[in-house]
Amino acid sequence: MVKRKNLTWAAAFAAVIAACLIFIFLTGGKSGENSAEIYENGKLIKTISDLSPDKEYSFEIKTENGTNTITVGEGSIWVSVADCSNQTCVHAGKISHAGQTVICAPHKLVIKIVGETSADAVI
Amino acid sequence: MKISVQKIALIGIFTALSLIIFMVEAQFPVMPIGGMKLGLANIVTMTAMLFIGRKEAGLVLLLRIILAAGLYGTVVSFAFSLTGGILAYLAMCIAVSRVGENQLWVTSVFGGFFHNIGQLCAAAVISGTWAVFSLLPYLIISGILTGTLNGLILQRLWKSPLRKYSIKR
Repeated sequence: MVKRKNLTWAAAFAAVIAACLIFIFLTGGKSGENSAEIYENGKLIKTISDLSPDKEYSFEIKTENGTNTITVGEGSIWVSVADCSNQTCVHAGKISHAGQTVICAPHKLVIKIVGETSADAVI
Repeated sequence: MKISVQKIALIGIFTALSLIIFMVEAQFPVMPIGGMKLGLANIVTMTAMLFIGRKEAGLVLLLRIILAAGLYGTVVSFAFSLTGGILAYLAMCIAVSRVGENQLWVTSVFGGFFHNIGQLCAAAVISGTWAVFSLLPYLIISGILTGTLNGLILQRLWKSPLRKYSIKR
């Protein structure tokens, strides 16, 4: 009886995880044909259509609360330098798949990858 | 309100313990997606729930969040911990009395799950965009997995000889 209850719970949680995985696979995009959108305080401030330039480049985004240096190259985008307090956005590393985001909460900055959806995404 | 010496001592010990675990865990690099972590400090909150009581566990949690924020946190990290912590606490309060002795780990899964939901809501409010909810499936998975791990540790602890220090009636 005890075992069965544990199994029921485990099955329920496994089902939720499976549902999430399916969702990720269905909505996750292919890398290479994506573009990136940068939002400040919920407003779109910049769109980068080519994430695979010949040479990687960096630019600065100045917000009311601080500055982030963002680098683009090899199909991905990442925050290379930030003058925020927690550096979570820098540690977040490179993102390349549609739906992935980097959030710099202190600066209210969000970088989001958008792209065509496909089922062969790799997490 | 009358509070026994035993209770005060246990609340103090649990608060110190969870603060240490929380700070040690903060030293490890965060996972690439959404700052995932194990949330080991939650084991202490749940242990307090079993050893002392629900109200006291809430106190331990609140003290830990305030102390951690005061020691090395920021306003933002405080807001994140608080929303995640409160939501997880409420979920665990409801779950803990409804599951049996051998399903204690389920409480922890609900805790981990709702903690991540709470943090995501805080992130949405702070960043002012719904884009962060694209992280939801990843955080649900990590919440369930870390919750299971913590829950199994908790269950092992509850069945160990340490249980004799429990003052919950």
